[in-house]
Amino acid sequence: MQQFYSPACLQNNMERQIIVQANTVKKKMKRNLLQNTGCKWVIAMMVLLFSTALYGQQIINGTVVSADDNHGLESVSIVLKGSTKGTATDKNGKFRFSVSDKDFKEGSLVFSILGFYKRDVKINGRSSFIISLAEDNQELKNVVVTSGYGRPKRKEEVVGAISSITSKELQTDRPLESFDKMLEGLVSGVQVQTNTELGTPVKINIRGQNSISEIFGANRQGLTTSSQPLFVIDGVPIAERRKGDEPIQFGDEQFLNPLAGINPDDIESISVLKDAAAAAVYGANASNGVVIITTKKGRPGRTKLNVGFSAGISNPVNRIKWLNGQQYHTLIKELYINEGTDPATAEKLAGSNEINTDWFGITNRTGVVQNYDMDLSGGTEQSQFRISASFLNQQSIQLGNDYQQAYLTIQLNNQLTPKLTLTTKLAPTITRKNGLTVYSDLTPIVPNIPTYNADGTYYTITGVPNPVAVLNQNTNYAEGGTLIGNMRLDYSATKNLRISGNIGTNIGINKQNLYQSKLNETGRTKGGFATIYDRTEFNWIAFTQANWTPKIGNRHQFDIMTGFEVKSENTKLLRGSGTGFTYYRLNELSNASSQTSASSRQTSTAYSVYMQTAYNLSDKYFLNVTGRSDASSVFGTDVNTTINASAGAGWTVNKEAFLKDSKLIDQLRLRASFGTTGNSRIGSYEARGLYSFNNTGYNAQATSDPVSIPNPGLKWEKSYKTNIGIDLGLLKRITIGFDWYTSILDDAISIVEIPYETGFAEILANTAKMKNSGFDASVTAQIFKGKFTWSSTLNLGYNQNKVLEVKNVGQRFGTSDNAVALKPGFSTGAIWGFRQAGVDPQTGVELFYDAIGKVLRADDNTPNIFSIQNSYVLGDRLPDLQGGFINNFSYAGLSVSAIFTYSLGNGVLANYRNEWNGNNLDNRNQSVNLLDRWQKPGDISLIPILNRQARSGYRFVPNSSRYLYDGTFLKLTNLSLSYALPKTTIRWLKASRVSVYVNGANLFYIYRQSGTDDRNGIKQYRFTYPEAQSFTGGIKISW
Amino acid sequence: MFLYKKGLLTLLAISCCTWSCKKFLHQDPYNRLSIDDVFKDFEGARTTLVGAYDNLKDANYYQSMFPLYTELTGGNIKYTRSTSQYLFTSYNFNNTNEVTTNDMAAFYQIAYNTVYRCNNVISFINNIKDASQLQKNRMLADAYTLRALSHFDLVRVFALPYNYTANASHTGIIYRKQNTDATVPVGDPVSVKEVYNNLTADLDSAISLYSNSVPIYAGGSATTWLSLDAAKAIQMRVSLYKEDWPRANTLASEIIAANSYPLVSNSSYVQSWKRKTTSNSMDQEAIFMLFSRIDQNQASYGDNFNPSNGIFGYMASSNDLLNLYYGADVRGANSMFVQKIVNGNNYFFTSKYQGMADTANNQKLIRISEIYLTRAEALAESNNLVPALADLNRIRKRANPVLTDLTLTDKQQVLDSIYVERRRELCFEGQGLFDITRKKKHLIRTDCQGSRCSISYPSPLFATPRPTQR
Repeated sequence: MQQFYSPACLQNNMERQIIVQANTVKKKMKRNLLQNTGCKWVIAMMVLLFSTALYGQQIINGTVVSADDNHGLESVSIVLKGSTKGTATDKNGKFRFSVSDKDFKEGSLVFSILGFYKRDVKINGRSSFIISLAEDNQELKNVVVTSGYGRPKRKEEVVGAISSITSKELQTDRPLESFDKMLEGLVSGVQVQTNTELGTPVKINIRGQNSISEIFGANRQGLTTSSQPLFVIDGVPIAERRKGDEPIQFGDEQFLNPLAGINPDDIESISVLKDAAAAAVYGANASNGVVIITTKKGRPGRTKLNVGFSAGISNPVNRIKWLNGQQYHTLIKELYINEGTDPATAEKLAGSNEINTDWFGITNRTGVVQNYDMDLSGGTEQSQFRISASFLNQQSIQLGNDYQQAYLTIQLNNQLTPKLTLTTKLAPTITRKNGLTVYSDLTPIVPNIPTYNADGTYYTITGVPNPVAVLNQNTNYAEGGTLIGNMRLDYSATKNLRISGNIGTNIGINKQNLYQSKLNETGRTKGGFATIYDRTEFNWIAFTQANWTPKIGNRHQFDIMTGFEVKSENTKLLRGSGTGFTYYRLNELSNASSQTSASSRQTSTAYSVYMQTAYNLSDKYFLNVTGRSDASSVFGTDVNTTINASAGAGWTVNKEAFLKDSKLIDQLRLRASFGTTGNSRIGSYEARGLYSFNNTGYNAQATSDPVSIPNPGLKWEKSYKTNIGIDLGLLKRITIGFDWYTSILDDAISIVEIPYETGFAEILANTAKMKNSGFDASVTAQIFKGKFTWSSTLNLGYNQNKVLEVKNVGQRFGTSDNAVALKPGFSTGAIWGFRQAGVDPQTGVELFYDAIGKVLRADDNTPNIFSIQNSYVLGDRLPDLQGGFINNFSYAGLSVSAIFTYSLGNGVLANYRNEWNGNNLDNRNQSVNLLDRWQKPGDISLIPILNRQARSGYRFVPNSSRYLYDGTFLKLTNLSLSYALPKTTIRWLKASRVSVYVNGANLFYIYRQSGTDDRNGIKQYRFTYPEAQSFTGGIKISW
Repeated sequence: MFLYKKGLLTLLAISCCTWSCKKFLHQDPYNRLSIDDVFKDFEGARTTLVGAYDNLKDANYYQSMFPLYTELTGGNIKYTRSTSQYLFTSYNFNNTNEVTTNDMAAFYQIAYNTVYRCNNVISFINNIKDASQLQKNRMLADAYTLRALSHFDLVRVFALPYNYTANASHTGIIYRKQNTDATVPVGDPVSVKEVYNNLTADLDSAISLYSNSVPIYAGGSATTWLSLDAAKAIQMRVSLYKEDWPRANTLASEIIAANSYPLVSNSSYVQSWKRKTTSNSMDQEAIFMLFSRIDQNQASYGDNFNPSNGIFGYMASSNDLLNLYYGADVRGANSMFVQKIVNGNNYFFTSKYQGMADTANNQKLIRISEIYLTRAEALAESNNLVPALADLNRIRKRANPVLTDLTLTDKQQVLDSIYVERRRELCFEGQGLFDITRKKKHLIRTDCQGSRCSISYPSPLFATPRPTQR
């Protein structure tokens, strides 16, 4: 009897529940109860009957419902307070219970279930109850998805550094087309480098930049390994699109973001695995951290329908200010005069001083966004389903740029037999993106020319396309689709042993159609130019694993998982190009008078074995050991297997006797871990000695050329990660998570020069060593609880990067243009350049300091004085501290959420071409900052005399401190306000919940270096294309 | 129960496919082939050799850099412009070990790249399944010859001549007899003697392999590919540098005796250097020449000497060279050179390879005239002055039929005459500086635009520092 009614027994079972789907809760619970030592159902029933007969008993019955939608809650635990007696609700939320006469009058019942607030209700002699429980997301947060392999774990079981956020925290109502952009500021230690183009991937740094910077710029393909984290959705890794082994003909293809294939509305939670204890299970792919996405599933019970619609507008903020027509005329004339042209000729060359075309204005608009979504879910105990569909239509503020995406997700769970479960998911998406990107290529053209000629045709300067003509005559769109599919079988062989098999696919197609009309300058010389890129990616992954969870005695709980994984990634590429379109309106390749084509394929395969052992002693002490061996086809034969491993330990201090009764501290956990992870994502076949082929070699024979030298020693990058963390809960209101870490990346891969005698000049090699260290912290406070709630979260990520060693050469420099170098002792994000020493007031020549503070003149022709090798560190592109500050308020049906993001200490090297001392001013417009230039002897200015390099032999320094800005900012990234309509007003709709919301994105910025309004500063220069400020409103209805 | 089994079978199937992973993990690239794969068959292996021939035609090798280096430094060429002068650092003997300040670094790289290609053929020859032994022999012979030729060209640029020290013990270059993985140290250079021993050995291997082989290439005339005679001719040249006079004499005589390469007549001489024609008779002197594409608009060596070739044709002949011709010499300024005024100055440009791009003449790397002159030198050095003069006079009188036979009796005078005749005959063909230094002469450039016009022999400057990259 004790056994059966014991809350401990129930608790134990409850905890086990966490790891099973809610769908079969009741059934399993019964089974577990039966199977539990001593919990013998039959005996219990007899005892129950026996006790009823002995004492005076009262029967209580009732229903427990969710406050959210008034539907019955299954498996709610009901315990008589102060006793060990209890029961649980059935699948309709009904319960029946007997208490003694005494308790019937004085006792109270405690209702609890995971994910809801506990309620304590006095019986007061009532025999019938309707209890409504409010949802508690905090409690849901106590479950963490730790990998795509195993089952979720209770937070206290986790010894690794994992940050987890729920869909609610992610705020998927925001007008952003992919979830990666939504992560900004939400996870401590995760830096999202926002960009301003629709449908393109954003760069995500987890605990700093984990790959060394590219030294030579993006043109050199396959230069370094991936710097992106690994994204895994429901066990299927999303292959990153990057150019590795692809032939040169595919160099200009534009990619769609593969992560856009995930409907943000489907996301239930996102876990970010940051340290080795958490990530080592992903072994050789986990060096940059792992992001695990878990999608929503259907639950047994009533079929639920959610429908939502939102719409909004957006406008550019902080656009770069260009010279207007008159200003431009003045400057270009001055430039010609400075070069010795006589004023009359200069005036003639300078063009009109009346026309002022605002190219930005006429190529941009107010953007519009619409989003429709619905999902339907429900099921029985044996099978559950969830179907969701969404459509997103986004028009960028830039004309010619828009984005449409349709999503469908079908998720099915089937209990085939009591021991066998089948989970199936199919999520296709279709994307179309128009991306003429007129801005970056064309907009800063000279302002003192008209858009149209007098006769209505487009005004053209030879070689400079008219942006308006381009918008109307050219096309550049990409159509793509992704399919993420997954099938998983779970077989519970015995109580403690579960065997799972999983097959997942990730298919992507992308077809880019580019057409440059012969009517404008982009295609004029070619008679029109069209290219079609056709990319098909087929990736699959399969794993088989066993989970064994033996318990030895009462105190030793093990969770051992071991499995094999096979992965294959295949890409097929096809390209067709044509020139000479005789009739401009027909622009299919078959109309081209000259056609070329190219195709390519790539395959890479990997085979892995992984094992994770978790040991839990008395629910207080935790140990976790993980190992994974990866073998991959991309590396040489003798090192194509690598083993990564980690060990971690956790101690739940608050369960110790000395803290058990503490009022102040309700949670205190200490964690430590050490281990390795790798980065294998470099272009395929890098380690092989390869030949490429050509049909037209010597004497018209087929020929082949060696393109790489065998480099079997090329091995996977390895990260050694150490993490020490503490989780602290205070006063049941404040939770603090703090993790200190170091991560040493060894054998970092980059191109190195090799002796020419080998026959080659360079190879990819494991040459560098780099360290990231810092801390990330998250503080959440429930400032107000009750009717009015206010919770606040501050996320911090502090990171310092340092290159420790560059083997062979000691140091490496990039180019003055990219201002990058690898030098021990400095950050890989360091900006290498020259500090400006002002401008010579007599001649207007720019002055710089060299490394030892000596002044260098820009007209000094000594070779190499401004070469990057002689430069020094001006700043760092990587922030010292960055994160977010999130505040949520709610009162009655009203809730307000504000997400602030910030970054401290990062430098931004602006594009020097926008402000190039007038160089190239004859071909394009430049920044209004040039208005402050030096003009005559005696002028004190930071901007030198206008001149062009070609004419004057004067040096320009692209990596000058003049273009360096402090990127420190605070931004109100998102403010949303939502209101759940009172139940009374929505009764006619028969809906369980209706809410309306408004959302504002990028509402304001504060930069430390504020600048002035009439000149360009960090605000304007931070993005090439301005960010959009957007406002959306929407409605959500649930049945 | 059925579903159990089905589930378990699926799991089992997955496990099984993971077990047989060895093959699964070996993925060959589709755009390219790995070394093992290329050498699986005859066709694949052959393409790698074609690629090695392509290297010879590269702008950093015979198509410009290598022959121009020796012609510029040897004083046969002067620039017609004063900025952006190709190989100007070499012209002034200012190269250093730094890759960035050594304008022969690209040649160094491509020559070793050629060696790399040849070494792969030599290492993987036995992997080829569908080639006969005779075909394999030809592939190996080509590989040995090309490997020797590349090293020979390297050692001539980057080391002092063989006879600089008595036993040729001075530093040479790294001789790569087999390829190593990228990270294996390449070692130190060996002595010039050892380099030449290797050259001789490689060429001897080639000579014996050629005698027991069949042609393997489908296109082009025979002399656009290497052959037994080509290997002998190169071996002859190596012997000349080694001052192995009997061997040079023997090899030259063998080639001449074959009668396959008649001297071009006086009347056809100029025409044979100009535009490409369909007639092979223009190439009749060549023992080995680089095929120039008619169907492709490729750059050619002659572009450098063609003043009508836009920005490229700025390599004119020095007066030092022009002054060597006199009388009715068909090779002189009035017949073999194109006169043109550039920036107000009068220049003469050689007609060798004057055809541009698609009309460019095949580039002769070794031809019968050189064989005669080499035999003359070898004979003279061996004190056989009469036959030596016979060979010399053949070349002299072909150029200028009105000349009378030289009848010198002083060995040094004979040698000096041969020395001058070599410059007259073989100028712009990649012998310039090498002929000066191997004969231990001072470099004297009178019509010179550089900062270091004359260098007395001996001087370490005659070897370009090896560009080192670590």
